[in-house]
Amino acid sequence: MSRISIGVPGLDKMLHGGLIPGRIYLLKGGPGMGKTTLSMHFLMEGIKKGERGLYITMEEPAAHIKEDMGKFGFEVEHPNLRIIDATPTGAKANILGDIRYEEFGVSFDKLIDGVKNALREGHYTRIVIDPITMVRVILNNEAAYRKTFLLFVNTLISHDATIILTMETGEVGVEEYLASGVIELFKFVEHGKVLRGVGVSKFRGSSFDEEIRPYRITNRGVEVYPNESLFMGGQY
Amino acid sequence: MRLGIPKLDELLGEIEPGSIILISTVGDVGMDLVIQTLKGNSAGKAILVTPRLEKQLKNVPGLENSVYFALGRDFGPQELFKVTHLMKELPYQELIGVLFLQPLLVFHPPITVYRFLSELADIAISRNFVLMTIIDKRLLDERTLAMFEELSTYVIDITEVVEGFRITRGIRIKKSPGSITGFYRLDIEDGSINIGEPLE
Repeated sequence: MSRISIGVPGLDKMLHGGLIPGRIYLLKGGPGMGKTTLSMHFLMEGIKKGERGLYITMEEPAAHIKEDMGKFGFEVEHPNLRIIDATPTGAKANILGDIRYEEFGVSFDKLIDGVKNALREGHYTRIVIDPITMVRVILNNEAAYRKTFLLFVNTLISHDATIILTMETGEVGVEEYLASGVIELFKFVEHGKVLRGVGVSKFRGSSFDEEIRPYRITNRGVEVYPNESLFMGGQY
Repeated sequence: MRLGIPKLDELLGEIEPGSIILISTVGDVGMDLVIQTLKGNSAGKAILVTPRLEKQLKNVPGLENSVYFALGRDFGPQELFKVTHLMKELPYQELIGVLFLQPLLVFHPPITVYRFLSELADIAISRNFVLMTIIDKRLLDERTLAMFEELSTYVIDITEVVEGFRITRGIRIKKSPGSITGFYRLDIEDGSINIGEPLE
């Protein structure tokens, strides 16, 4: 089975070789845990290989994303990377084809259509939606969300792109059941210091490292220590 | 490897790479033993210390260029994974690792320190280096001390007995692939270690 790198060598090792392409993965974590940074590693890894990446931000304005991610050395202005601002504070111009932000707010179908068009036109092989949680907030209807999310998954899978959806820790929803893999970022506070750990809780079609491994956010982005343990009160 | 202290070398014999030496002591007694061993050995040295100990050791001729990994500066007491990562990455072919366990026991429960030492012991075996660890046995109960001893290849036990104003120090080989011994008199003067006659 072929693999693609997630862009962080230590995490590739935990995934026993990287992600299986053409599938949907969930990246969970609390605020400030590095979900966006890790997602950008994933997109930039594809760009290094000549692929095209699509990043849809639904919470943080695109200008902030570019500024923050640029500091890690990511080429956020690379022509093969498209960053779409679908935040409430973003420009209210057309954001995907002829679809406007306001339309995202009333219909998840519009997002699906927009992504479908983008996939058709742009041949994106790597996509990030950060965070998918925002769509749930917009729809405010669990049944409708589940139905449209399933449709969304099927649409994406048919285009052979590899997709990362981010969401907050603690939420367990339909996304978790439908995603092929779940990567979670944990925060532990020990004697006043924050320790970060990354774990893979699900990865269909592959074995994976089941231990939570330490990671750090450095000036080069996320660094995972796949051979080390978090020594914490005998728990991890 | 040999420790460079004639009587101890006689009792311990040649120490194989991959061995763990636990010096179970009281306070700082035993520090001179570690310093003498490090000074007399040409292998690379990686020393996990507190900043206070680092300052002390860096003033010892021959130890200025060792790799020091200071608690609170290079790693937080919570970030033990940085230490195991460093030990795996060190470039030396020949290496002596030195670990002072006391500061870690202030921050962590003994089981966590045990797991950490266990991981370092595995690294020592796979990288073929000697790891010396020093523990103030007053910080541990008997059961926990036994766990640390079980993990070690050699256990050097240092004890002091106070009678009135008279202090008698003794040293013995408590665990060894060779033979174990009773206590010998231990005298330390101006950093010089003298191991004398067996103690009754």
